[in-house]
Amino acid sequence: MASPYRALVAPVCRPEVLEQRLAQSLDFAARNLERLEEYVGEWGSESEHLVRLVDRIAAEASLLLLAASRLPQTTEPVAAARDRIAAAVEPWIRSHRQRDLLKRYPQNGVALSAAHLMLTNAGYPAPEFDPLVISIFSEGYHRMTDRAPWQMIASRWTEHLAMGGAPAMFRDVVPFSLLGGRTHPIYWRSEDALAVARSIFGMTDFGRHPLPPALRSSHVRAIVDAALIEALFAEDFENLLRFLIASVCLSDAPSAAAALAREQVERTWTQLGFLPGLRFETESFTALSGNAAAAYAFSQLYVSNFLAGVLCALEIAVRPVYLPPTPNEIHPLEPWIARRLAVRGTTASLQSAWVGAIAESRLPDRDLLRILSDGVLIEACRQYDLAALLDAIQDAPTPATATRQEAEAFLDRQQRYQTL
Amino acid sequence: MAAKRSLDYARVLELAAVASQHPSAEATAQVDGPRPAAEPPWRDTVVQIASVAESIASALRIERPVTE
Repeated sequence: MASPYRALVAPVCRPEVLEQRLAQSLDFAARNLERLEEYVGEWGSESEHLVRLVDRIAAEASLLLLAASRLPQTTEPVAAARDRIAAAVEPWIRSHRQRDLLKRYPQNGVALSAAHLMLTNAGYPAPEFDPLVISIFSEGYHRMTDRAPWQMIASRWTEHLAMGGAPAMFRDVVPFSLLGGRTHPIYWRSEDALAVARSIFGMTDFGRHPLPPALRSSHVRAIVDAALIEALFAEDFENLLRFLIASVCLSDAPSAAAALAREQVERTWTQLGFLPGLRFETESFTALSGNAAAAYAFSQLYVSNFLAGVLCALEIAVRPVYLPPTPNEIHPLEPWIARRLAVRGTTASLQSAWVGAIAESRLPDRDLLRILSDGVLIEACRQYDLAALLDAIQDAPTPATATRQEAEAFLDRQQRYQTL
Repeated sequence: MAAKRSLDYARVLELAAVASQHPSAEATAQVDGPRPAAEPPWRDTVVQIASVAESIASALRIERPVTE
């Protein structure tokens, strides 16, 4: 489906730019995964944990490899970096420890085997490991623990990687999934955002299949757009990247929120040379030196920088169609930027990255106005600033977005039960 | 990426100051119990991270662009 926003992200999403960015992400991964042994020494053994930090890193690296392996064609730097990453993570993924854990704790086999399966599906098999992993699914160990709907979706996706064949089915899970009902970032905890993003990843096999027919794509798009806006204003690059990937997985036309989020990722990547991590603390980093500083920085930055590579790989595979930009209409944005800064309890300031993103965006003002308005509504609900919420609802542009409708319901709820 | 629009930042600050003085703000901000999922205070901003970007890139052996 054609969309004017494809043109707006066109400079970011030119194939040669995406190839270069993917190569950067893979190079970041390869350089640092080759130092994992040093880093682990700084992090401590975590031997009492079933899944350690190093295992989570190896799994995220395997996902990056899987996404990069699904490209129709590949460049030499990309192919070389992929091989380096596979060589670096394989000893951790197919270790004696992992084998022993799979034997001892088969009920946790989905989490324990996912990295091996992604690596295998990315073109780096280890047939000697397969029988042990496949037995998790063929002998029913993967159903031995209770799972939330998003975990069931992730489990079926992993099972599909193990067993091959037809795409996994999710029809029976959809009614219980967050995506199958009423949900909005206004109410989310961090686990909910992860659940929504991972559900989209699993159900679409990272954009290879459409969503199950029981899900309305417009409903899912509205949730993804609201999540992108929330992450953009919160400077949460991990969720920004997750929901940009989810956005590509939906295979519909890119929205204004996705276009602005994509611009912001590219802008920050150019500015810093990498993408920020959610929990990175400059104070903690500057207190360290040498390997300890590198180990800390990598542990805080690997998620966003690996996800950025996954996003580029998916965008290369989707190959956006570029159209001429839409004409701009002048709307004053200052009042809405001011409202967002004035929400009680917010940490935003004129120095916030999203202010620069708005100033430099190629999006028309009317789209930015709606994004800003949604951003104010979400933050006013989350910070429980009802005065700001009431004002924003009264002045929000029309037609009403899904976020405005949910914000109205939130405010109505506060007023309806005020006298109880 | 070049600036696409010029924003009046002084006007933004002026409007923000007015908005934060909303007469009903004090009354509506008082609610018992936790606020819904407020932004964690430990989150460093891009501006803060940018101040040590060179050191991070050096530690992680990232090749940064020559110009910003």
